[in-house]
Amino acid sequence: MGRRVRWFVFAAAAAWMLLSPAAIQVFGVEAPMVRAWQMFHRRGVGICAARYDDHGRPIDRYALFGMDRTAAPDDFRRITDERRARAMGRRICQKIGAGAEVRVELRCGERDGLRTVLDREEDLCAAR
Amino acid sequence: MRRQVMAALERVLDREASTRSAALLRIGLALVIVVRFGEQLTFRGDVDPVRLALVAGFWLTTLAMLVGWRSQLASAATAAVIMISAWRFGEVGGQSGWTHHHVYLMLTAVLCVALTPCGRSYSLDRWRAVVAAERAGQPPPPERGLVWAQWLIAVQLTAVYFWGAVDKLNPGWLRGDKFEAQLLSYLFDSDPPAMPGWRAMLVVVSVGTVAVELALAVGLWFRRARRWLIPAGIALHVFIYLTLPVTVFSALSVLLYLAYFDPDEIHRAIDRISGEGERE
Repeated sequence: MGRRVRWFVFAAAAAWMLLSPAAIQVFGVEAPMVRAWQMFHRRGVGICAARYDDHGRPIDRYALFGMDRTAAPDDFRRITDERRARAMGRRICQKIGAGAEVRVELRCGERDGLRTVLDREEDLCAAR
Repeated sequence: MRRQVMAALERVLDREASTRSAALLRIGLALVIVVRFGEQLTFRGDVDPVRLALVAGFWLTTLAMLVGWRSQLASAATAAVIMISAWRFGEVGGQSGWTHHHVYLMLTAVLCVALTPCGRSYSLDRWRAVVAAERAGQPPPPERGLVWAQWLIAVQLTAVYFWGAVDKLNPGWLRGDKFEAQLLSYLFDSDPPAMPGWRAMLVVVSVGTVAVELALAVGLWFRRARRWLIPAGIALHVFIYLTLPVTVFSALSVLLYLAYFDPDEIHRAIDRISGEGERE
């Protein structure tokens, strides 16, 4: 490969590698040929972190229902929205029985992180 | 300034240097490729002529690249097979694993290695050249050549770190939320660990990841900084491997650190640890 070709290939490839991701990350252009290095960008969307408590005491859902994480059904392990979080809350209330006061801090995954959906403002057992 | 830049580019582009790093990259890449795709590209599975041709091509070219038989050609052919497979199985077949970032990085690195005289060291090509020289009563050919394309691998990895960090410069990542969502998705489902300091730890890890990525993007080019940054980079990649399903991305990135070193420095280090330097 001649010197000129070598210099041209190097400059063109280096410029493409270093600058092309800006098309997507900075300018927001749709460019299928460009690799923007936005790794795991869409991961975590559609799953919620749900922390239940009874009168302020944290609840271990697995211990309460006698389940093992590896064997638990998918819809038990993964709460994906407010409706399912409330349904799980009702199951917990039933399991604990009379006098339970179950609240949940629910944060759900969106493109830019976790959004708080429920912040313990409601006694899920009272909603029965 | 312009003169300094041109002088630096001339040192990179026009200088002949040791081919040992390029050969080590070739061997390492071939191994990473076999680990990544070997299980998928076998004669077990669909009896589809295109697939079977790709399977045969994959093993032929990758093994030739590994042992260094017509090394540059084998590396270029391996890149071609991966490219066609990524199109056939990823774009057309919808198998997402073929379109992941690490496949693109791997492909770029193999293409760059194919542009270096990577067969002049640690290869069947080298063995044959040495035997031919001995028969002719000549000294063995030097392990040197134009290795400019090796620097492109370092440029590519710098881009990966830099743009990976830029992508994380947003409140969601810096608060630790985005990383927590990824951990929920892959490790904890809807029950994050009930441990004190969990949120604070997420913030530290998230901010630390951005800081390390930016430091790697810039600092790996500097000899003094590499001493500290390479262990930090390895730690980062081990952590990523343990928490997220990145397959060979971690091993691949660490292997490509070799591209940041001066090839002659690597040559001397290998001589030194094998006692060759003392004999000279």
